[in-house]
Amino acid sequence: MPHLRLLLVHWITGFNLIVLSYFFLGNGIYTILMLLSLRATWVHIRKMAYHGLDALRVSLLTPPVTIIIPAWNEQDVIVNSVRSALRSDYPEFQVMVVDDGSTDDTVDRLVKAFELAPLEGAYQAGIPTAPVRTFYRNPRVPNLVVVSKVRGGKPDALNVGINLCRSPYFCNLDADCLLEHDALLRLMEPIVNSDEETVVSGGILRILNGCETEGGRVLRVGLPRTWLERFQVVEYLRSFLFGRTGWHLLGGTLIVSGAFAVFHRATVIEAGGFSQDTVTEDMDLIVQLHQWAADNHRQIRMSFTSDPVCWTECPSTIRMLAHQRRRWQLGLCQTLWKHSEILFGRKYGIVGWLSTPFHTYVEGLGAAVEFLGYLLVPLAIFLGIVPRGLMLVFILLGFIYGGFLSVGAVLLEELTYRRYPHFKDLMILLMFAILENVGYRQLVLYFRFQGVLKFMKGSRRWEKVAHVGATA
Amino acid sequence: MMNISDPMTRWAFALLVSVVAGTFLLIVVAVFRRWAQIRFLRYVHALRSTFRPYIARALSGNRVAAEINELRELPAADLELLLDPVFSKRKLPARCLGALQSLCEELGLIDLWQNRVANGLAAGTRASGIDSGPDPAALRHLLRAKSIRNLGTLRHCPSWPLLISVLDDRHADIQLVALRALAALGAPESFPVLGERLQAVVQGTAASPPLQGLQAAMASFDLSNAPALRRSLLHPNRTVRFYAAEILRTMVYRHAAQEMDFALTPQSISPALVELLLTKLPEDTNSDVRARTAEVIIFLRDPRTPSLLCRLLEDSQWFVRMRAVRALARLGPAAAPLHSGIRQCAADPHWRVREAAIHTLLSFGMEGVRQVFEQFMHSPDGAVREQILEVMERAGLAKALADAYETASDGTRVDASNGTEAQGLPAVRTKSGAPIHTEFIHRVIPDVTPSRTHRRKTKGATRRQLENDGPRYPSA
Repeated sequence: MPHLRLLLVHWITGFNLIVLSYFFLGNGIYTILMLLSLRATWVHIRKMAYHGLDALRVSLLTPPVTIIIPAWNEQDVIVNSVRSALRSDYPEFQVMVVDDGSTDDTVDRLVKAFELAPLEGAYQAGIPTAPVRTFYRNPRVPNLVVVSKVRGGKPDALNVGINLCRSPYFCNLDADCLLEHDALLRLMEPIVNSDEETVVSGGILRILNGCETEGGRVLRVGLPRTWLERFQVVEYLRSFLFGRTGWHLLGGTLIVSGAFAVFHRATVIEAGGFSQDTVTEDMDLIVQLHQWAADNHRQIRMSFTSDPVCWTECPSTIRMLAHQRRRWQLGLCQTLWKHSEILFGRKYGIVGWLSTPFHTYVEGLGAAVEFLGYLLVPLAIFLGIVPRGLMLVFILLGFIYGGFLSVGAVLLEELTYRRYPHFKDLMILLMFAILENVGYRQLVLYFRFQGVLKFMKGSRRWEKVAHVGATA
Repeated sequence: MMNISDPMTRWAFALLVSVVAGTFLLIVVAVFRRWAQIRFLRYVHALRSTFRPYIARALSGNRVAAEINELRELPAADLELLLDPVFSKRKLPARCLGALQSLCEELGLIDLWQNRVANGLAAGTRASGIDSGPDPAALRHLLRAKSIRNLGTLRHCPSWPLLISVLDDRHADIQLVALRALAALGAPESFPVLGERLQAVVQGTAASPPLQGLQAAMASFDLSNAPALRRSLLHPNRTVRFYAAEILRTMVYRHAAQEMDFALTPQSISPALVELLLTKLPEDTNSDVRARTAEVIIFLRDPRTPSLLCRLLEDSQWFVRMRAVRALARLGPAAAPLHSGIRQCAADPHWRVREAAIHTLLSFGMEGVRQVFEQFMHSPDGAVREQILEVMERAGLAKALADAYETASDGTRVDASNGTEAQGLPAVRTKSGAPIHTEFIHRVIPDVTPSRTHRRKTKGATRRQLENDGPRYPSA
């Protein structure tokens, strides 16, 4: 028995050290990202005063863009999403909806709303895809085309869009998203004004739930009513305003939201297009592009700016949230596993030495470490392996540090974009930023842990999140 | 319960307290910021509601001396706040521009902006006492950028030498704003200077300003400045020549979009440049330059143009052929002598040239459509037929194509069927006389496997080749 206890003590002590390293590494890097983003976003927002979007709008050098909207059973939201895309303030663009074999009225609703007529068309699969069935067009809406294809998954639908688009850049847009009218122009600004080869440009996703919309346009920005959605607002602010901005500043972008991002078409084709191997095709493509660039000795740039805004629905029920988070975690693990050679790969620079290790350890394995920590730390205290007081202080520190980071994100929003107009909104956001770490974070952690388990089981199932119709 | 004398616990406790204090501080800053912002917005609102009518009257030409005097007494920062909505407008009406210029001059704003740009000093800070952010001196380059933008919006031409000097600023965004301002000014004297900059940047003898911004700025100038590009077009460096050709092309296309029946004449761009376009540039060793030249010479009403274009249609580089054939769509019926060349392009090995050629033929009206039909029926190449079908589908003419194909089945069709059968394509025969649109496509398209393979090969061309369709990167 003493031997067993000794083993247990060693094991739990070792695990506690892992938890501590996870705590310091994760929070340390998040704090650095926050400080970097604070300065960069502050300057960026002030630059908006002379950003020259008008020059971009009238310039003949602004390249055309195709907005690709993959859709599968999106009948409730697709029409408004397309309307918002068609309203984009951009010199030359085309909207291409790729219906991925919907079994509902997605295509019918589009046909009715935009008076489309079917056309049999030839299709060349540069990137291999499932067969395309029909094209729909309306000569009076020349920049809209709807393509109906056999079901093959979201990456497949995106690849069809890439095969069909004729512009040098394309923009992914999820069917439940509404674009702000100048979002595309803002997204292209870093591409056009950069002398480097910018192959990806990502923007920010904001939560649509609680906003007042009409015909694909956001009329009034507001906070959602339920606690679950409000927590997600804070989470999105943290993730986009300082997570992605910070990684972009460090040159270690590993995630660009596939719901809204612009890609250079020829580069994506050369890198092999969207892959079906993972359930997060967006992250997979970004990592694939890093790998491709390093293998081919190409200098590419991936940009992230937080002012191009795309509004998206967030899950409004715990069940849907569980679907979403399990899938994200599963996709993260799958992608990191698939591209594991990047990890500490010399030729991958910041991506190989900082970004990938961080995502692997803190974002990927961290879900399991933190989840098990909630079980084993109390056990360690109970067994008297660690000093009770010290451990309690650390647990408290863990909660409060999370709150500190979330409040930092709300402050960043306040210093820059201030999208939520009322004083009351700010107070609510601050309150939810603090409360997020008690209850909500643990709930999400549980779903993330399930995602890790699914990865270990080898699951590849895509869990669809049903929309409540905030876009509708 | 807690042993605070333990150094580790003490350390952790100190960390906890500092994080709590930090969180509290962030909350205070966020609330204070919102409060300050509300105050600031109220102040701006009050300022604008009092003085906006003055500005509006001054801009509409009904200036009242007493009102101008009152405005003159306002701090510069308040004046900028008042005028900011005017400067943020996309385009100022021409009638307002003169009035705005004289108003800014009278209020001393032009001097202020020029001083800021020249000295890099935050000459005018928020004198109103309303704190809405950090000390502007800390963001000095942002103030300078705004001043440069304002000088550009005002079209204050005497400022161009100052703006040129800003191109060496250490902030890249200041350089970009200066370029935009120079483009807005459009001062002819600045164009050759920018041309020299272009050469220096491309050759690496100057690090600034950013090439893309410089290109965009130069392309925004009036076409009458084009003769100044001649030196760059003759430059020994192939990349300089490419950028110059691209700038010229952009200038020409912008004018063409504004004017019906636009034509380039020796008077508009100088005889020397016309000669250069018709002699040296179509033979340039840089294929990107040849491609751009094809798109420009199409606007020259010169007897040498058709033969030059004919040569460019047979260029060794696919993107030169593509741009040449695309450009021909602008000629309309005048392109009749070149129809055979265009038809050749419709059977080009590169699918993008084929696509462009079919589009061009279709743009010629019925005659063009007839030629496309003929090409479809007589071409032995499955890839060509497939491409034609695809373009016809997009144009909504596939049914007509199918009908024509069937009608000709006993006559001209014979040759085509021979060819297709030789390739393993089944001959399409109408049995019932019913519309065969879908059946037609499904029978023709799936059987063109050899050409698909070929086409995929060309699609998999290197990125650099693909890039040549876009204006951004030269192949040089």
